[in-house]
Amino acid sequence: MPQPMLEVKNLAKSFGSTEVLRGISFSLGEGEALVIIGSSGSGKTTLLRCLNFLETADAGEIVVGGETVWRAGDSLSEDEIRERRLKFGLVFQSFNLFPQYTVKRNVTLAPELFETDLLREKYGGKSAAFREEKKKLTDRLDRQADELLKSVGLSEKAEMYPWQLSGGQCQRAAIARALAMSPDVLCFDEPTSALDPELTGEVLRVIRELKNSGRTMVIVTHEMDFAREIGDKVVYMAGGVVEACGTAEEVFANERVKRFSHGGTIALDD
Amino acid sequence: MFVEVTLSLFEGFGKTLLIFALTLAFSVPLGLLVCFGSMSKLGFTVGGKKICPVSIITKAFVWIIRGTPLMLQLIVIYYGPGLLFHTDLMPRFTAVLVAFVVNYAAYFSEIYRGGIESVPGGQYEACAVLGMTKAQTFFRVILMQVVKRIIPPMSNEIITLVKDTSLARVIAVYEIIWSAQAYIKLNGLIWPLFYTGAFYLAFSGLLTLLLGRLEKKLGYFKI
Repeated sequence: MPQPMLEVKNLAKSFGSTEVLRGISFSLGEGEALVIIGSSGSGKTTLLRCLNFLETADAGEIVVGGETVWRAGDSLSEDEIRERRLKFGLVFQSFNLFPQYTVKRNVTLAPELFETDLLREKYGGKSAAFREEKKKLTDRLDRQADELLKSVGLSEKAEMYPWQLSGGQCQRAAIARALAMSPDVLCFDEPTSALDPELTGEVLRVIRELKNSGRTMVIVTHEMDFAREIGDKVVYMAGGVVEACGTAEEVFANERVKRFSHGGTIALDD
Repeated sequence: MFVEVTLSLFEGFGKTLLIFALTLAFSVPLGLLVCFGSMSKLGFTVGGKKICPVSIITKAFVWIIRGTPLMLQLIVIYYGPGLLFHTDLMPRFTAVLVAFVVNYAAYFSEIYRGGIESVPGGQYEACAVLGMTKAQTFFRVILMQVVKRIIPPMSNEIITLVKDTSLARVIAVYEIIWSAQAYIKLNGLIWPLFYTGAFYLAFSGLLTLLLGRLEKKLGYFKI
């Protein structure tokens, strides 16, 4: 069996006396999409935030490509966290684009800052070699941004500011921005929850294309049809535990999941 | 007579502008320091409650400065040290600057704090997951949004400062109101005092234009 791209082992997290995650485990192969479903408050978002080091879990282990990126009890320096969290990318529900920058600058800013630091370490900030490499870097990132924006269908909006875009365009820009840091695993936290149905479609189309190009993804969503379609694996979370896990067919055949995904109607029938 | 008064008022107005410019130059950065102080989370935990001495002290300082009249602060700073420690009085102009800088830094610090706290947490999180350092996050992403948010309240304070400079008169610093009042005593003329209003109006009008232009310049993005 090939080594999984992402392994999460027994992840637990409490806020005060509230246990939000109570031992979450799953694994995911390269190029697979894992979809996490479950009601609000089931711990889905907290799980993603732990993967991205926005929260620190209390127990468990996170392994990416065979390498342990986090283990309970690790005390990591700020630089170590910075380096390790780049294994993951995160697309937020509310986009969180930088309002003062154009769409393209949103995409190039983070890799430019990160790689400029590396160049400065290597060549020293004032050398001619540094300036030359910096120039090359800028050109390369510029081309990379053009390609990324093309792949999410935003070539024409490259020089616009976030406020000039629709919600769906903002979210697609945010996806391009996350891809620019070349994460091993791209996470989505309810990427369409802030969008109307029409705009939801264009964002889902981009995620579908990423799936086809072999991107490893963890997607938290309330779009059940989309979950069924795109998930190589589906995890149903409830009360901080994995209630059901398997292929989409298996999970959606589960009685409790059926009750959840058809929510209101069953409740009325009772 | 009109020309003579105008020239004399210009002389006083020079001092007014000097107080204004120096106060602004020192209190804008000092305010940021005070702001970081009051937002500081440095401290220790006692019985489950976090105590942050730096923040407490800074907030007490801001309370005292904002809670007492600037005129009183001027008098205390000028006469206080002499009465308490029997030292020589400091130069009047220095006392004015100290009082104004401290006072305005306290007000600015609260404006900065409001600006920083109004930037949504999602902006910090987006920077974090993209691997930015804290310094990069603040200087490359947060700061510009803070500047845009604080321009209107800062403009307000800056215009207020133009007029507050007239308080320097209470410790006999020769600014424009003082030079106009001299005509009441010496020539029995009241109109030079009214005339000073034109100077204030012209200057605050100019500032309003400049600050408005700055606000417009940052209008290219929305938050």
